[in-house]
Amino acid sequence: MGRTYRLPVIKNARHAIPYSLAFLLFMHFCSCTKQGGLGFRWQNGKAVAIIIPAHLVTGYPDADTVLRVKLVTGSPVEPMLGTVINAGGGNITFQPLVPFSRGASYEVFYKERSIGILTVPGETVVSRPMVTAVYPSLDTLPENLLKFYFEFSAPMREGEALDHIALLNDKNEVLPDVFLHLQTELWDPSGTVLTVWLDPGRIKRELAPNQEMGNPLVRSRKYTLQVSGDWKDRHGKSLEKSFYKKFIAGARDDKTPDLAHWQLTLPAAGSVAPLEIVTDEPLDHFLLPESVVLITAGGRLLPGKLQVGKNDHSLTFIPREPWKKGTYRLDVNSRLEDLAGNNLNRLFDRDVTRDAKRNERYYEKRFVIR
Amino acid sequence: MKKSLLFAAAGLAGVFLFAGINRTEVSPNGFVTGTPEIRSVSALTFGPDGILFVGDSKSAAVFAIDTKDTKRTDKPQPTDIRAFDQKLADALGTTKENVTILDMVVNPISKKIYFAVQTADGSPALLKLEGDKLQAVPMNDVRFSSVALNNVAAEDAKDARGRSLRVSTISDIGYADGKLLVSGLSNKEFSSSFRSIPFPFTGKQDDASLEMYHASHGRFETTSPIRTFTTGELNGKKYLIASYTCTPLVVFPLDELTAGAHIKGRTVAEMGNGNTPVDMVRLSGGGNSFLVLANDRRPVAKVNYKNIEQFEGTLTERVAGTAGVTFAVLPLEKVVQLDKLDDSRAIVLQKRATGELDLWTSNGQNL
Repeated sequence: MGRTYRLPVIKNARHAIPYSLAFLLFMHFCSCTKQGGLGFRWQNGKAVAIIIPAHLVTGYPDADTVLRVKLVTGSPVEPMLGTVINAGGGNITFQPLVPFSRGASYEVFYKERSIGILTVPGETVVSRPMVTAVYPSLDTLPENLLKFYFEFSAPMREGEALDHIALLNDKNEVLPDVFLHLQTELWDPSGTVLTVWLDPGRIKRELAPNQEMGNPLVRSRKYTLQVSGDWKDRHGKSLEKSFYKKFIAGARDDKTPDLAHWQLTLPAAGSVAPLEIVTDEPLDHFLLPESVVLITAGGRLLPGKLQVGKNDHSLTFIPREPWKKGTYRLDVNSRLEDLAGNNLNRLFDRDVTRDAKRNERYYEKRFVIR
Repeated sequence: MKKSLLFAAAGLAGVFLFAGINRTEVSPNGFVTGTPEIRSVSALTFGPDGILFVGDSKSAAVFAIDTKDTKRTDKPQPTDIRAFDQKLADALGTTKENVTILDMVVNPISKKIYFAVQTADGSPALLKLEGDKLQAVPMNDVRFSSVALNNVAAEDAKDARGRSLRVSTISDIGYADGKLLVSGLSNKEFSSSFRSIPFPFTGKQDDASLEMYHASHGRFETTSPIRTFTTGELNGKKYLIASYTCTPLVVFPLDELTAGAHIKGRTVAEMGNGNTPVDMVRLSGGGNSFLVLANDRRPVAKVNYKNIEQFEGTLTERVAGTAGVTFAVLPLEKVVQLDKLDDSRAIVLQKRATGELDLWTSNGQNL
């Protein structure tokens, strides 16, 4: 019978005395757990290898043919893929193709003899993830609303979003086929913001799904958007609680955003007061600050900070330098969309017999500081 | 841990942290030898001579990896593996709930099957089948090159105001006529991003970024994103056959895919509610060619190529349900991945009623 080792993470390893700058850097990204037997090597919070000390194996050269690691639970038929590396001094490491799973136990076999079992500790982070925001934040949304953004406090497990997100009617019934199913979900680079489209085939007029099932939202009806609490983050922790957003479907938005109707409150020359911009309608929460830049009369990009206001209906520009007398320009990228996916150039589903289409890269609005 | 070993490891960590990519040799066609730093595996396709293209959404880049898997197999044996998801989970040392298969492709030369996989903690992996054994696709000291999809705009007034659509997810990649074709989705804008990038990658930004429209019933026009595509010949001319996220099936002449073009595709069919294919392949049988469309939420559909060729117009009339060219709906549901094995057969990854994922090979009649 093989010897069994159950090894917790050695927290003290993080407090080791730094020998050099290189050592410090290394310890920041990688730590090792080792207590005379088998241990994990850690990198960025993930167990990336098992370290097997020399006394448990008899030589490296044939190790990759005689070393085997398997999950303790279930009855795996396929050997775990990984690389056996000579770690020096007779020690070897087994580096799996993907990091070991949190909370799982692994048994290591050498020449078909069990030499130990290790358990990856559960996540040490105490806090559980939360839904921190859903955009649009308004409680009345156009009936041809195109998308929701879901913002989380931590990166969530991918590939299962529509198992956890649902739209309910006023009888608390889940509405089927409301969202667009995408095999590769639309996450931002941090893994904390998810974009979910309402099925565009149902929104676009005269497409078969629109004819068969109608628009996903119907004017004047009440809805609840739900994110179920069983959704786990990448560390296996489920949401602290389910999330609900109640809203009502309003009138169809069939106008493109129009800069001519944006209202500006101008600061005085010489001040560093903010420029307040109220848009003609609520706009996309993330596209809005990315789409707008301020340009000086000389064509220079004006440094400063753009903040999106309540309900994505306004913007505040805080300059880093005092305003000078003269003409400034607000340049807005034509890709900026409203809540129904209409952008500055065209409507979401343009009626070619009626609606115009433009092909500008950006639109501008001039103003004079006095 | 011994002090000397710590120093060695710290040094190694430094190499990985600050070098990013371990390059040792750069060839004239942009290939280097080293370890590509792939952060995600969204889409796969094979190019010439065993080159595997890996679409990496998180890096907004496509890697071209020389697999050296170029031993020709003319008569591949069928592959049939039940509970393939469990086998995959075993190989990755985790449970099958923790594994998502993002793409599957067959190497057209060796006929070996490659898989792009992601685990619950976000770790990507590339695997292939050798017989009935799973293996990691080697990534150390391989020849590779890469192309970035989002050109970082300089922070000046000219670039800042007209910044183009940024791809957050690669929805599909393909290779035809010396060009890598990439369809991308943005997590912000509902717009079409399609690029045609000459391969080998030149390092210059001469790829064609295209705006692709389609019309529904001649009246409503849209720039909806492309979800999946394939290339093929229609009436002797090469076409891109694309499925949009809002269900139309659209064809574009390949020779019109030039830089900066705004192209309107010809809508040849509407797929019906929720029917956005995950994969499309061309198979032959009984003297005919078929476009086979897999969908993980609807049954597999099949279209005779002749019908697409003969459908000269674009959809101009409102028709209930599927419209345009005629589809045959096959009794195959929940096909999550599909790729061509040879002229008449395909490799199928299908979710069974038991919840298991089976990998099987069609026999020329059942698909």
